[in-house]
Amino acid sequence: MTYKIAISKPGYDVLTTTDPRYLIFSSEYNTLKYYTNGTTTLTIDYSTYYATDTDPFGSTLYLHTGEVWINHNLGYKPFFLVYVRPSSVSYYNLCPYEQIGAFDYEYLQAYTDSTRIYVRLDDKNYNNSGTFTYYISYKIFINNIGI
Amino acid sequence: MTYKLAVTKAGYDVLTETNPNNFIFNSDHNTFKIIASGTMLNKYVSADLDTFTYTHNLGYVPSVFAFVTINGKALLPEETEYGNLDRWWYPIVDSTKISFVFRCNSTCGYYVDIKYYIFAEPV
Repeated sequence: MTYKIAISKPGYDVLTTTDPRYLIFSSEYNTLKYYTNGTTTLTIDYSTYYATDTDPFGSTLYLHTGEVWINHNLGYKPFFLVYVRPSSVSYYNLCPYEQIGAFDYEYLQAYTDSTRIYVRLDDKNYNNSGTFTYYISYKIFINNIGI
Repeated sequence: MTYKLAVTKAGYDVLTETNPNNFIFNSDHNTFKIIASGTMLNKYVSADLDTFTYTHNLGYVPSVFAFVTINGKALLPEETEYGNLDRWWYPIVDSTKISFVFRCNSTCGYYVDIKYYIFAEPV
C-alpha cells in the first residue's frame, strides 16, 4: 500500500481532491527545497575598459565587464535565483537586469555550473572614471536542474 | 475544528511562532508544487527564433520556470550566453504548451539543453 501526505486548501476535501491547484501540499509532488542564500557586491571600475566605441555624434563609449563568483560546491547545477540592485536605485531586479539606451547598454546576468554561480556585468557607457556598485542577493535551492 | 501541520526552524517554538520565515513548512501557506519537469537535450539552434516546444495540455496557463545550458553554463530565462550577448533565449507559456525561443543575430548554429519546471499554480 502506498501512503502519502496531503493538505488541501480550505473548502476542499483532502480525501477526494486530486487537482494539485487545490492542495497546499502533496507528497506526490516535488517542491523547491532551500539550500542557502546570501548577498555580495560587484563593483565596476570604469577606468578599466577593454574596448571603445563611438556614437553617431562622436562621443566615446567605453566597454566594461566584471564578474563575481558565489561558490556552492554542490557538484551539480542547482536551481537558483539572483536579484540585483544597482546602487543608483532602491529596488531589486530579478536577473537578468538589462538597461538599453540609444547607444549604451548594461546587462547583469547570472549563470551556474557545478561549483559556483557567476554574476557577470557587460556594459557600454560614456564613463571612463569612477566606480559603480551592484548589490546582489541570491537564493540557491538543493534541486538539481540536471542539464 | 481546523488542524494544521507546521515545522519550525531550529530555535523556534512551533506552538507560538507566527513569522512564516521561521517555518520549514506551514500548511497555512501554499507550496509551489512541481507537477511536471523534464529535459530537452542537445537541441540545435540553426536560425534566429528557432523554437522548441513541450506540450503540457493542462487546459490552464501554469506557472513555469526553466533553465538553458549553452557551453556548460546554465542560464536563467531572458539571459544571453555567458560572454556572448548575441545568443539569448526566453520561455513563453499558454494553456497547452511551453515554447522555448532562441535568438541569435550573427552566431546561430549552437546546441542547447533545456530544463523546465511546471508548477500547479496558474500564472
